[in-house]
Amino acid sequence: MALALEGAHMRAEATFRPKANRIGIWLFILSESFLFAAFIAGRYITAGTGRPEHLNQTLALILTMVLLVSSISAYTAETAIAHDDRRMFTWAMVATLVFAAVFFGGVMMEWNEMLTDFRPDTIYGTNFMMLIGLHAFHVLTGGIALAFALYQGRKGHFGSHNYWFVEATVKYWHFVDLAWVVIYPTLYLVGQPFAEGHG
Amino acid sequence: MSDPRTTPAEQAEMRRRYSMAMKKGVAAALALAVFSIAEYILSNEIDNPTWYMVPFMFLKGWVILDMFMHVRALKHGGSH
Repeated sequence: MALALEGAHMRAEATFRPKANRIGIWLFILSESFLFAAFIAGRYITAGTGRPEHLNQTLALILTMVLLVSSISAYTAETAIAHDDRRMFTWAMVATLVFAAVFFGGVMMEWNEMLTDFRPDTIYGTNFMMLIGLHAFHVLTGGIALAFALYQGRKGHFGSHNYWFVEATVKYWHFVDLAWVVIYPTLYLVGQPFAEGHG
Repeated sequence: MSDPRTTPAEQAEMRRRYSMAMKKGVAAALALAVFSIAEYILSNEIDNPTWYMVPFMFLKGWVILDMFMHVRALKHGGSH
């Protein structure tokens, strides 16, 4: 009787655990999107749609491309481990981490440029620093999670029947990309440029 | 990549799906790159491009949600 119950419990666990995990990560992503939505709404409410003249739009476009490429490599890593292709998984994860580091470095450069090109104590400057900072923090935490997934994967912890952690970290990484899809036009592209000191 | 417990036919099917998934990923990334360049050009060509940016945000967001994050798979428990 006890054995039968244990067996039933294990079958239920195997059936429902992955579903619960997936719903959990989606709820987490949803809660994160509310946080980003509040910051993005704050930019439009407090600073309107204007932007300073000296924004480095080209650097932002390059960073957007880097993040897009990191998304495809993260997707490749997840697809590879789901098909037991460990070699491709390792290469794609390493590539994702390199792109994440490049993106993070670019954002730091942009932050530094911002301090010289326009004032951070203006309404736009404050919004810019908060949004870019919030996103950069997510890039950093996503990068740490991806590095841990790579480390675990190298030790042989994942395979086609057990790659939940990789799937979760890659989903989080795609969310970081998704947030940038809205942040990039919100900070760099919308509205008309205004002279410094008016934002 | 091949699992010794599977038959050659199953392995071939797995390889086909793997290759298909990779191609889908590349197509999605290319679409995102094209949309990003288009919105950049548009924002520099139009005086006040705010509302023109909105469709791009939705399009790019949907590509990421659907192709990379498999949001539609949530309907059947999230597996993909």
